[in-house]
Amino acid sequence: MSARIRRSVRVSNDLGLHLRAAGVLVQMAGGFACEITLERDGAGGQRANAKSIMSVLALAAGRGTALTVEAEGSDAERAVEALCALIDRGFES
Amino acid sequence: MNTVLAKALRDDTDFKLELELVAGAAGLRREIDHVRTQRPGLALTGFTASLQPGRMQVVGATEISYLASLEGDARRDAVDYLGSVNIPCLVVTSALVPQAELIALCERLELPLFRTPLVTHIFTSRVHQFLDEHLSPEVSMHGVLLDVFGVGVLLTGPSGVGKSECALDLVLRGHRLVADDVIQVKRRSGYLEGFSPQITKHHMEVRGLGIINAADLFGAASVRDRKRVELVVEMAEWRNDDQYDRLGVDELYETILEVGVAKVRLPIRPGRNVASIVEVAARNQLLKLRGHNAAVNFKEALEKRLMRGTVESE
Repeated sequence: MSARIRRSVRVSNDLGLHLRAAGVLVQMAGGFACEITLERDGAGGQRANAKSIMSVLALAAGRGTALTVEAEGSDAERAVEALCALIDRGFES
Repeated sequence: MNTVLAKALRDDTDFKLELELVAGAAGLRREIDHVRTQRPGLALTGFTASLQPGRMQVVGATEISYLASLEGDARRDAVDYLGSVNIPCLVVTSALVPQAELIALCERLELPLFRTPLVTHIFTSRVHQFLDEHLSPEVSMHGVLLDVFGVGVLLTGPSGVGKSECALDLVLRGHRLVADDVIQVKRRSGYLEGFSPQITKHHMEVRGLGIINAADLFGAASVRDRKRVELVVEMAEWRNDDQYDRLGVDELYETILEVGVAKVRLPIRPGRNVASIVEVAARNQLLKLRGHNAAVNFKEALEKRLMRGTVESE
């Protein structure tokens, strides 16, 4: 079954989506089979492949950035849950 | 459709438009959506049919001296014609002084009126670049963009197929990296231009090494900032049941932002030197751009030979 799940989340830690944070996020995203996209909210929302470090870094999402995590595939629900939780707790493992 | 606010004209420093706002500050949020400017010219005589909403109006010596030749009500009427269409802003060039009637109209309609010391043709040429930059459609793509023998090659394919490794190979052979992984592609007039997001510029990720800076490691000549996209090389896992082009006679195209780009599909398997094949694809593309198509020439030579064979056997 292939479902598409979307959930909004806000980057709340001081440094935003910094290098190590992006590394942790990409590692985690890579553990899921589904396709995962991060989208910057607002007009012309930039999108990033959550499994690609360069793509995630290109978002340059600072503190307060509103993102939508979108996943499509068999484990989409779990992936969105896990990534949103990671962003919510400021990328602390 | 993309739009740009009149405010962006005032704030611009990149294109050296040298604009100062004379009137109509309340209208700085008006939107320009046309990539070309227009001279109001005849509109001042009442022929407003050609005035296009959303298009920036450039007021030069012709318009200002025509207004100067009118007096009283006639001049006010001429100016009022400009206000009859929803234009986004006016720019007076060559440091000309706009008439009080024109300033009053702009204040009343909250229509930004700018002034530049640049002469009309220089201003127009710069502002067209500004408008192209802001209004051209843009898309973000996944892949690697390189300059290989002067040909802009976009490597695409699924994650983990080895795009970055192939790009690294090409950079080691002296070709130039434009963008790794995320490529911003913009449509220019009739062609596409690719560049990297500012933050990841000149960087690439190599599995096992992490993020590297190609400009620092391999020198300034190993990178470039922008490149026309001329060839798409689609990398795919080798599948025995898939049909790969064995002849190269039929040309494949990939359509990006409604622009067709030549494309080749490369099957990947261990031991196949992809960088060499990409180099050859780029050389072949160069030949094609010069009107020399090896596959087509070969086909024609073969057909000629076959025809001759047919005659002889009769």
